[in-house]
Amino acid sequence: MSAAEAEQYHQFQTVFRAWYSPLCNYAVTFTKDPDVSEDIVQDLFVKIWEQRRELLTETSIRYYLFTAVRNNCITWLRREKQQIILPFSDDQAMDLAADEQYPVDGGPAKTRTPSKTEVDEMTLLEEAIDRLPPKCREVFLLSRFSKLSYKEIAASLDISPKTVENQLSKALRLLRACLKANGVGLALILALILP
Amino acid sequence: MSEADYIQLVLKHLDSQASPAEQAALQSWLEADPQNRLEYQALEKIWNDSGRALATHSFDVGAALDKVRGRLDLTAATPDPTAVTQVVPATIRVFPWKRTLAAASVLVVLGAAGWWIRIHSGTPQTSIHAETANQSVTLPDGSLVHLRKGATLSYPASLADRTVELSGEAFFEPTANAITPFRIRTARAVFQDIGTSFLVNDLPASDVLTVITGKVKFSEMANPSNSLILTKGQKALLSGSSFTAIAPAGDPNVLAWKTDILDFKDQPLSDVAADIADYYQTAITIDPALAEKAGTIRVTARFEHQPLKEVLEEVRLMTGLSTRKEKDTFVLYKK
Repeated sequence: MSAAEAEQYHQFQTVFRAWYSPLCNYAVTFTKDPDVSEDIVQDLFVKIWEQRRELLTETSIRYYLFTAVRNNCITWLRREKQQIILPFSDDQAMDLAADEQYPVDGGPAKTRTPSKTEVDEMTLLEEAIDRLPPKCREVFLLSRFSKLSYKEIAASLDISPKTVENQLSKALRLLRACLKANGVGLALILALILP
Repeated sequence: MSEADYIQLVLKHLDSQASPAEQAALQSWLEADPQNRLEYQALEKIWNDSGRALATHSFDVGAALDKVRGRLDLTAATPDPTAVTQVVPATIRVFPWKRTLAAASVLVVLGAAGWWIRIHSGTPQTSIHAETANQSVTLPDGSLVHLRKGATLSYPASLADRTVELSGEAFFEPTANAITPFRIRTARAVFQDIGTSFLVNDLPASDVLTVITGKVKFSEMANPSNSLILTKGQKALLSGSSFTAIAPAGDPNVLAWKTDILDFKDQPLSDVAADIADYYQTAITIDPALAEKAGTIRVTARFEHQPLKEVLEEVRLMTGLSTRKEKDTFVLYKK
């Protein structure tokens, strides 16, 4: 290995170790399949090494990785599952119907009725995230996995930064309402009380 | 302020994207009503938990990297003088988003001052000094070393006997090799890896070893029979020629310098201050007037890649305390 190549491989390895798991978990949110997700992420890294090595040293690598994984997941879904993916637009109207069905009151959408002690906050939260309106969920997931700035998320999803902000706020508000309805809110109050 | 408004502020704050004006607005909202602080904590918890809830699967990063490496058009690998037939990079799996920290074989050594006198003075040496930032190094045998800023690693270019010298703090992921174990030397101690990976730090007065998992032999340089084998969860200090057992190595932030994550779960303020001070290489003390209460102030928070300013801001928001700066020291006090 030449010194230059060793340096590049070192960069490659650093980026890989830092972002492999978040990228795979992000991919799982589309594919629902960890093995397929790993394949998609690994293919992407091989492609970067082969074609876009210069990207490794750039700060935009994270933006590139998450955008590419999302695109590749969608391609995979189209091919494998023949699933229809709706284009992501700034049009808010689509979400309204979904919002109304969002079970903030712990209503009919919540099928299981575990006792208070059985309530696993994490599971509730996972379910609540899963039930976010599609667009809202998409922005929220990309933000939480990639930790990109609003501007970068906006560019990646081809929407405006303001929409990113609004959707993230909405996600937090809906999650809060959903957990509150499920009685988790009370437990949170224990956090910190100064004497 | 409407719910939508304050949620937006809290969100921007949590996402480190709030402007100074927005920070100020958040602060005054928090101070307006004790209820607001509880609301803030609830939102913050959802935000932090969601990161963890979303990491639904754990992936074997080391195995994946091996697999991908096999597909890259790398030119012939560096000749391997140690003739390790099977290079299996040990994998550290610290999944910041997992509910439980995945197992990692980790050892911390806080070493002695002064630079170890080179035993390999006849052979060419490679010396790497992480001057301005943490630095990762792949050794000729495939072992990985992550140096904390300020650390220096030195080894014979061939690495034939798999022995390196260290000053400062570093995290090691040696490749498996039963015939030639991996060793680290500091001025007064030798650490021999019996597990898979470990962390080493070299401080002025003493050598400290912390093993998170795996097994490491810790011996005095001058008297190798004076040694100790530490396993998972153990921590010991060597000063002069005596070993002292110290508090168990349960601190999840022992690798914060490498992961850039500080995670506190209902921890006393004094521990929180110590971990923050270590990570940011600064001094933080608690106002003596708070001494009595300090033990009852507990913090649950998580910081990832955040500047000290934001971390202190968060601590202030959570505890209701203030900070002032005295020379190079931050003092936490109650107004």
